Amino acid sequence: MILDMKDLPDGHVLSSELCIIGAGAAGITLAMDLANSGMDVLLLESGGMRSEKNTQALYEGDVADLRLHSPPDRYRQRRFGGTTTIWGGRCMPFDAIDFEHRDFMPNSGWPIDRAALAPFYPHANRICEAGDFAYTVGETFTRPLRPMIEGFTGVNFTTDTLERFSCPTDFGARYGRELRAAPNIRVLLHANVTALRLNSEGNHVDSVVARTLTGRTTTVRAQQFVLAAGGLEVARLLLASRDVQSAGIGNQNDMVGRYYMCHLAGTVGALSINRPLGAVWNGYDVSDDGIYCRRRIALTPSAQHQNGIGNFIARLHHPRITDPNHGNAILSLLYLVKNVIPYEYRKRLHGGERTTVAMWLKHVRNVVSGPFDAFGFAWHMLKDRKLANRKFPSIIIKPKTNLYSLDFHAEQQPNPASRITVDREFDALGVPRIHIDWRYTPLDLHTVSRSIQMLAQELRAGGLGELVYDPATLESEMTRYGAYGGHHIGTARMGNDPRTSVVDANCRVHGVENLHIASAAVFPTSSQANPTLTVVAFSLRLAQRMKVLIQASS
Amino acid sequence: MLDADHAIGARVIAALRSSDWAVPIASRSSQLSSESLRGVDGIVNCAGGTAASILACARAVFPLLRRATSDVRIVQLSSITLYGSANREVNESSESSADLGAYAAAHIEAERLASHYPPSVILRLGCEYGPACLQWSERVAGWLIARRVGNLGAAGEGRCNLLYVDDLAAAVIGALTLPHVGGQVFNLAMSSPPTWNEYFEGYARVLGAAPVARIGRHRLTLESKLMAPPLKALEIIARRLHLAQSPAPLPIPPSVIKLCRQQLRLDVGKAEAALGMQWTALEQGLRNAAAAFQSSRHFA
Repeated sequence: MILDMKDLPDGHVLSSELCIIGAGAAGITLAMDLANSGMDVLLLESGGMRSEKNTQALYEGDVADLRLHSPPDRYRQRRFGGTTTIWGGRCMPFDAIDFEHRDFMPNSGWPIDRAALAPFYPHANRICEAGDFAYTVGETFTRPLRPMIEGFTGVNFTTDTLERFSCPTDFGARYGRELRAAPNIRVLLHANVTALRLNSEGNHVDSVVARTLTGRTTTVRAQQFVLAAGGLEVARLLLASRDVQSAGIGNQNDMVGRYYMCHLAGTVGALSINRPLGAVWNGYDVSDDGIYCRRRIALTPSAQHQNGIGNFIARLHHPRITDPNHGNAILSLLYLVKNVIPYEYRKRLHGGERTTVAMWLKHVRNVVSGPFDAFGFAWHMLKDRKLANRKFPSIIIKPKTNLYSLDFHAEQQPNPASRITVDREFDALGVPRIHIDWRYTPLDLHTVSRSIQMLAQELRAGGLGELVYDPATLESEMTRYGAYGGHHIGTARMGNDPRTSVVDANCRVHGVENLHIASAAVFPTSSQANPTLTVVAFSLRLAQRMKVLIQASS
Repeated sequence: MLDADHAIGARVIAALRSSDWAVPIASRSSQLSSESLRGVDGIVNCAGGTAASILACARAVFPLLRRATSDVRIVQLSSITLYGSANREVNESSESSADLGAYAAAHIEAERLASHYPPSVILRLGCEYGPACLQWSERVAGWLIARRVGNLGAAGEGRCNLLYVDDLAAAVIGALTLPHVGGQVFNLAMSSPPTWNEYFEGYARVLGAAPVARIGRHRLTLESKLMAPPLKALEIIARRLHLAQSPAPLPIPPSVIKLCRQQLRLDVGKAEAALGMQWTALEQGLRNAAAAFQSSRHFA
């Protein structure tokens, strides 16, 4: 059933066997997997069924450098369904190398390997509505596909892997009915958890305190608690709960909030392919199960080892939208209508660049000179994205010449100096706001620059094309849009040693017997992959553990 | 074999014929008499289609059998529709829900009449699929090829309690021949049913109707509320005109959309234990259904 805490009397006490904090991808997956299990599950959600301005404002905080990181109330949603209500839907699993300890990647190495997650990935894929768990061309397609770049046989790169796209599925809308129908699950809306209360020994969560913005308080007691509130909020709640552990829960070694990672992402260069137009394909292929799939140029694990760099992928991309010299009506149209595009996607359309009147007029000229292209694109976006249930995932422009840019997505080094802390300012419920100090390292820059350099070399050596870019501006290109929004990773990292981690291999907070975390916060490294699919897989793994723990205690 | 003049009846007749137990004879319930029962060792009441035909057959056969003080075994093919809109696991003794339509009510009445005749065995059938199964294979194939169904999202997460047609035939033979099953009721459907989404996706793939379409809520509403009534009317007109098939596509009735959401799970343990049921794997059943469908289209 779904309840609203606003309807409960002030001072109410609720009990359950399992209390999950946060109804986003992680929390809903966990609850869903326990539906009809007989376990009494209480799922606390801060928001309601729709976005609410005053609830969303609870996410506000401070950022050290706004050029490098978006404000904390952007790219995440405080409502039922969480950030899946606005996500892009890109799914891919982490690679085996992401779990390894790599000498060249400081602070790398997970206490589990990929095999530990492997049993959960296929189900996670289904939950994300990304179809079969098949992430190579060979596994996915029985029909021959157009080559991504004809003649490209990468030495350090492969074009055989692909990403799959969710609808994108809003977990709240998709699974709300099942949660409502499950006899063992209660969802409590508008329940803002403001503190976790430990016992006097500090090794057991006795209760959590939830408050509404209308001034009501509820105490929730449970045998087990799972914090599933996202990579930023997990750190915030742990750091804000200081009544017994003065530095915050799990933070006795000053680890909570550190190693904060997003992804390095950007668009660089002018890539000219010396092949006929039909010999290059930068778009989507639809698999038999109806999923939009897109191939990428992925750096191989051996190349990562040989070059001492992190994980990296690139996609063939259209030229930079802001520069009207591309002469493309569709890109100019996108530029001109950027203000009606949601913030999270708009940012990458204008990139903070100043536009002169002359540039603006050039964009208008581009649109006027290609009205059919612009109309065709608008119709495609209306039909295949706006009105479609499974949405065309992104803007794909097939250039009239084989001229592209490279859109890259790369792993960040886990860096203790990149961190989330809590402020001296408080939100409307008295919880300290977060301060974000996201940083990148020379190794991050090296990962991107070396990868692009190698790719340029391979394309040139193969006589396939020329990638022109200015290495001197690579750093500014890499940070043009700041940290890749929405991927909040590493703030409660997993490890065997409590001195260097926050949770153990089972996602349990070190030293607190009944507190687990389901979030990308536990990832010790960030991979090149978007985190949601792996968050969902971890939640399924955690659900299995909850069944064992609750059964054992009863 | 009473009122078995449909594809499923034909399949059961074929299975009986190939067994070493029976020489099946097709008969109409309206023509049934004490005379015609002479020498008969078993009866399978296959009447379906409409509530009226189900009731007519049951009202014809059971009083006759009682009057004849016969102990001939009769297998009554019933339906899981009598569980109504239940969203839970049900076994053979579960109560019917209160919101039943005429079709389900007819099956309940037929079962009631059967229960007064002790040698009867009642088989409650799930959604029959397989070669030549009109409702859940042929019709669905048409929808899939036209991309009118596919992955329905949350609307397709109900349990699809499929019963492969050869499994039904095996159950009928068991019900006719096993000594201790008289007077009993059995649920029949595969033990680990897929969701409707999984059924549609799997079937679409073997039919070559890929990529599987994603059908949203609004499209389903359009199909079932706006398009279904006129399409149904055309179907009826075509039937009245004795056309081989309607010139319009087959409607997707609101009842099917409702069923696709329903979390009805059948406990089929009793059929497995008493009738020795082993269920055809879904992949195999789908392949066979698709092959039969494609073959029929080829010859058409």
